[in-house]
Amino acid sequence: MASSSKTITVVSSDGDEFEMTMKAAEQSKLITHMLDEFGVSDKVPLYNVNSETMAKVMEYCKKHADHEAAKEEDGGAAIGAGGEEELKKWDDEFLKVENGLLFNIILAANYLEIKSLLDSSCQAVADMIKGKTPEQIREIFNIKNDFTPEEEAKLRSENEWAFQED
Amino acid sequence: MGLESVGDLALHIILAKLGPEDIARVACVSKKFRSSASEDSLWFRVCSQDLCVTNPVDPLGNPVPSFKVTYQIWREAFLMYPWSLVKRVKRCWDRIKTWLANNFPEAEATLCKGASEDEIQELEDALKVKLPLPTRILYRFQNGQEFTSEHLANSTLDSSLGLIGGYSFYNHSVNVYLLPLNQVMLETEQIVRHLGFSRRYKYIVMAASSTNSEKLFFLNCTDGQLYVGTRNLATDGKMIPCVPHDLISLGHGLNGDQQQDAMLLWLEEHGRRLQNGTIKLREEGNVRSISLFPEEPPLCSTAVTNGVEVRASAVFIPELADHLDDREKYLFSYSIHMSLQPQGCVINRKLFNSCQLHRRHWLIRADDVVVSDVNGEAVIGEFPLLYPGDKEFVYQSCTPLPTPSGSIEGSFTFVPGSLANPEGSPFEVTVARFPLQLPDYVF
Repeated sequence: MASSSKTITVVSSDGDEFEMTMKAAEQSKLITHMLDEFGVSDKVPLYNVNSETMAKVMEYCKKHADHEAAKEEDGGAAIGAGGEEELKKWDDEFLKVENGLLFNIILAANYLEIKSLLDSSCQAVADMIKGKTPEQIREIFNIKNDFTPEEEAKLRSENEWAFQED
Repeated sequence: MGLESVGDLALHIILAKLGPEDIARVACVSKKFRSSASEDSLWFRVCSQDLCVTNPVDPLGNPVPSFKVTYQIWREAFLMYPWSLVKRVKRCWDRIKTWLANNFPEAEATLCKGASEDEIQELEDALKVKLPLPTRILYRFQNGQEFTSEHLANSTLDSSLGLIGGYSFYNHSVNVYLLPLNQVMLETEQIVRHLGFSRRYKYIVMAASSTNSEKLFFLNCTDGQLYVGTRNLATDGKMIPCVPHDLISLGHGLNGDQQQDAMLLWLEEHGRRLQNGTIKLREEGNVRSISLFPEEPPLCSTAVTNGVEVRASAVFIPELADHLDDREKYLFSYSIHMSLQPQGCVINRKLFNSCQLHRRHWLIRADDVVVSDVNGEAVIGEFPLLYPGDKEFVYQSCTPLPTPSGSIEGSFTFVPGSLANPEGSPFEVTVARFPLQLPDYVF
């Protein structure tokens, strides 16, 4: 398909324009649908995504598009056996950003329907939660405790089993 | 911007990646998260994956309004035990109960609902023992089997519904069931007194045969091993361990599900054998029961000669083993199944519509030494006449052995047609060698 050499332009909520290849664009179901609807020549407006987040999403889509292309080329030979693991490592590093940006990435992945990015970014948040106490979770994510002392005590006793050492 | 801003869908995805303890802790963070963490679809997944519970019911089978509360009730019911051990015990019972539901529902119906902590405490106080943890949890799930007069076969006090099952040969018939705690108390007090066991050793009766033939299983609460009484039980208290000793590990400081006592290991092994068809249900007359004779190779041999198929296997009979008698140190019962294949009896391309057994020949070995060379008429006094496609003719007999390991092989002399009207010359039907082996798990 010659479309791999074509590029499209997306516009962030801040008005900045970003170029991406068709292959990269195909990572997002939403962009793919919009292109089907409106055609390639127009600029695709993504008013729900700011530039900082958009740059990260572009980076992700490009990386995953390149990975897929390499797989298709040599039937996987170019990637090698450790290929999937390497990609996962890349994803993990990629998501090591401060919380605010991570949440925006989640929102963007959801909106743009990039399933693998939504899954990985949610996993990154889940990993931060694992094994933490409620107090620690509040601290990490800057969440306010809006329970009354009675409500908190009730919750604590209902969930006593979750605080047991095995 | 905070974590709540990622939206409900993303929050659900994040929570779905967490284990039950983490989801519950998230619920304690704030009102918003309490709400997100209460989604019942999350708890349905937890109940299903963590507990293999797919209906919202509590441990006693009572319905519960949501999966979230279901999981909470389960955790709270077993708060005093390592959760991983509780799950392991549940899996053990689930496997057995699934097999029963599919194959032997009348036996499943005799399983009593789990004992309470109070009932277990009552037994421990009465018998002055401390049950090993895995056994306590086993009884929390199911409190043994109870037979009402409906369940009892014929008019005797025998029952064929024992969970462990048994065998019968000549006039010795055994069917083993798990005792409910009230019977454990009664039987232990009676038998321990009767046998003069020292209280020091903390033996309690856990399983027994419901028939006239006595077979008793004792749990040693100190070392966690299960023992079965031999012929010498009444005279010198001789018992045989039922589970490989080095597998037993009790003790604090062990990870939850690494703790295993003999009862748990024994029931897990039994469940495996039922599930993979090593042992099966047997029907004799109208009575169904679990038979301990192996049905699969290598313990069960098969041979076909001229259309006659013979399957054979043996089981160790601990309650009749006599360690003081060199010849009868070990006793085995063997079960022979014979049938004529649908195409009939074929000898040198000649077809016969029946054949009848005349003689039996057995070569019995202890280790590799022949200790018995039998040559006689009939089998248990009968001369089975086989027709094509008929139900198998099955019979049991027994043989003593001076060693824990040996084998039997042999042949039957058959006559085509019948003994009254032979239609050709007699021929030998092979009984392929089958092992006599003291097993590592004794049932």
